[in-house]
Amino acid sequence: MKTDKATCSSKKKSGFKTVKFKSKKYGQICPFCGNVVEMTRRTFKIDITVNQRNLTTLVIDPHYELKHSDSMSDALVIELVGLLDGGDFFPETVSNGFEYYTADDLVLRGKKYRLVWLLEKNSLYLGVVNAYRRRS
Amino acid sequence: MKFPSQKELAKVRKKLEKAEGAIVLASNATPLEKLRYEICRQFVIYAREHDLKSKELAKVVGVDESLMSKVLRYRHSRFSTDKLVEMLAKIYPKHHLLLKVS
Repeated sequence: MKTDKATCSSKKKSGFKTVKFKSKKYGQICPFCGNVVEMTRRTFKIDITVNQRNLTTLVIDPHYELKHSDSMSDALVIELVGLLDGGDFFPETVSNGFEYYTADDLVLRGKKYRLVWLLEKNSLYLGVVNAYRRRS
Repeated sequence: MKFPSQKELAKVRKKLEKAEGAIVLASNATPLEKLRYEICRQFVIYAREHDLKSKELAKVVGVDESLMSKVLRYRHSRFSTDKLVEMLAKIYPKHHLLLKVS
């Protein structure tokens, strides 16, 4: 699995400081080599059926890394998305051709998570907008 | 493949912060929980196929919108199975329920 963080020469996962660029994009400063790595969306191949639509691509927005990087990772997001397989969901809101969904109390290894995700009409990808662990 | 702008996503994240969210069927669900989950799923499919909003579906079923919203999110603990079947009969009045044991 390739992430933005892996492009940093130190290849360490913790201790990154998040910065906001003037362009309003986010980046992370590696505490070991000082490199600034822009946080970009990652794409993975998947094979799941959601809302009776076969989805082949997963796009993960890096937003969760701003506050939840300690308890969340791309690998975990992929596992959580796997729990949606075979399900039918009602959108929380629809805007500009995108349907936004929230799945709550997703349980993995005894821990509960929340996933905010989207589907674009007539597209075969699922986009993860946010993901985090539920404490309560 | 396009993706919403960061501004749009920020707006959605804020909006959905307090949304109840849908429940996913647990891997250790009991047969009764599976049955009730399956009934709720029929409402989600019906709403999608008929392009209905929660409020519109509530009107068809004849229940309060807040109750319909719970069913569409699989939050069925407030409903008896009788009530769920009764609601289902409102959208499929001429259909029969088949029980399959496997």
